[in-house]
Amino acid sequence: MSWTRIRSTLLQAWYYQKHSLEAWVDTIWWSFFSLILFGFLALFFAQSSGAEKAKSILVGFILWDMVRLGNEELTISTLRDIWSRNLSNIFTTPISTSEFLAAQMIASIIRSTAVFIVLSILAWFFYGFSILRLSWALPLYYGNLLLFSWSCGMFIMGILFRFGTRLQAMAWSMIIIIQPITGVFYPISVLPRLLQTVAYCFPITYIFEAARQTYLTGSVNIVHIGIALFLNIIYFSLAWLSFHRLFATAKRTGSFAKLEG
Amino acid sequence: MHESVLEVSNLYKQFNTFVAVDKISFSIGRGEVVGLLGPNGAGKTTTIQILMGITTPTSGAIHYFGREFEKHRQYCLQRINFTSAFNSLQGRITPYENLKVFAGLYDVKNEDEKINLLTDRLEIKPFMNIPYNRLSSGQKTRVNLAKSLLNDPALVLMDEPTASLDPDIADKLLTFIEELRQKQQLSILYTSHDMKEVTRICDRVIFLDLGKIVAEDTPLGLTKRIKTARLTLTFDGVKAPVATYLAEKNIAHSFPRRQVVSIDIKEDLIPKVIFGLSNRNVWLTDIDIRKPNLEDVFLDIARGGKDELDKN
Repeated sequence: MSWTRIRSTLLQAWYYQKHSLEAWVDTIWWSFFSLILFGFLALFFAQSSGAEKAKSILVGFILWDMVRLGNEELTISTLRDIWSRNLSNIFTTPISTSEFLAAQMIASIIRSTAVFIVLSILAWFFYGFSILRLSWALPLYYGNLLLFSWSCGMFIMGILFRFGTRLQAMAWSMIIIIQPITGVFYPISVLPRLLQTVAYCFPITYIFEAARQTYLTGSVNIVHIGIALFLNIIYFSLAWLSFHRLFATAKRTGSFAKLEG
Repeated sequence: MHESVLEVSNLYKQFNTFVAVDKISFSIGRGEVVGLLGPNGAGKTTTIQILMGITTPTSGAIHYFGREFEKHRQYCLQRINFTSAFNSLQGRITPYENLKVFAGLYDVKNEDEKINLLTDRLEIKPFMNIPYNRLSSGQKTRVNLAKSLLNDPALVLMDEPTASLDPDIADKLLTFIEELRQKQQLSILYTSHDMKEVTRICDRVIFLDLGKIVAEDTPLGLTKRIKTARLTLTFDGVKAPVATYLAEKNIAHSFPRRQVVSIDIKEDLIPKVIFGLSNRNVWLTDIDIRKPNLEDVFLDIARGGKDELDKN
């Protein structure tokens, strides 16, 4: 691993962020207006089901945004290089896939942490909501969610390399598919039994359940965090393997070289 | 004998049932400029993609600087580079920022000094702080070339680098490439559809067709393989005596205009034809002899005349 190459990839992400309005829109715009929306929704529910329970929707929203940003950092930034016809330039330098992925992951930590801090301050300012009620478990929740977002991101990147940009909508949409069944905004118990079983196959389900519990009761569900971590390690390993397998196939079939037209 | 920077042995690439590259072997010596030519679909682009490691070969071996590419990918990619008219850098950021990123990816020491030097030499300094996607094609090509020289490569793969340039800029670029080669002993694998350009800068040319090497020689050597020249005669009067004479001698010809005849003929027969026509009282008002050039070789191969070329 070369830190110089990782740093250069991060530098490119920073330059892009600096110059591109849509990068700011992706980062701040959606997050900010979604916070406003979910904040008012929480206030509305507070009238019938208690303020704290309603505000737990904001726990779900802020943590979900970390998953979204973590996933997008890997997928969208790769797509930007494909759209610019720059990806083959990058992969004909000595950079290894591990260095490339590591750089994307570090970028996702930086971007999602910055957004997390901004959203947390705004949520406190507008709605009196404090994410710090998740106490010492907050980094554990955050870490698990990022790990999951990277697994999704790596898998989608592999698909993009292998099957091309005709599947680029997956970069935004695939992660949304699992949002309704992983208990982001509501407890898993409201789902039909079959969907509950499916939901517990995803590590983030345990994290959202545990985070809500911590927010409402102050207790930290170590078992849930442990299961999530265990599942995340499996997901991450499978995503890593599938990415490398799909990338190798893309190079064998020529689809990687044809990505840029 | 050149020290070899690239050795390709029996390189073969098959996509399903289509053979894109068919067991080609060649090498490039230090300071040598080799042209890789061929009609569309000949296998040039696939060969370059394999040489850059973004497509894997079905079989065969590639050695850079004596090391196997597959096993020493980073070592090899650190010492080579690539530029193409069909690739771009990141469009939203400036050329300076792009070069800074690639300098880091190639672990270039004194990167600002290096960028300064190249931007000066390629005359791209005035637009270094404009977003890359706002540059003209010619400006982008020069920035791409600067990128390809950042790491002081021993070998650069250039895929139609002058494709989008006006003649003046293309000429400057070729002069720059010639200087690089002389001063730094830079080796280049060069693809282009401009045969004049290839004749000017390439020491050796490899012709590909249907994935196979069908000819390999110096540009002069290749043109010498075509024994026929194009003789164009303008004459006074009617064409009947000209047509009769050429038919009697079994010489293929055509009349592109009423008093002009065009003949593809071996060079040593040209005086005989001119003398023969004069003897038949044909008054020749203009004689034009065009010797074969690399473009003729290209057309000959593209139109399926490689067998004849080989025989010659």
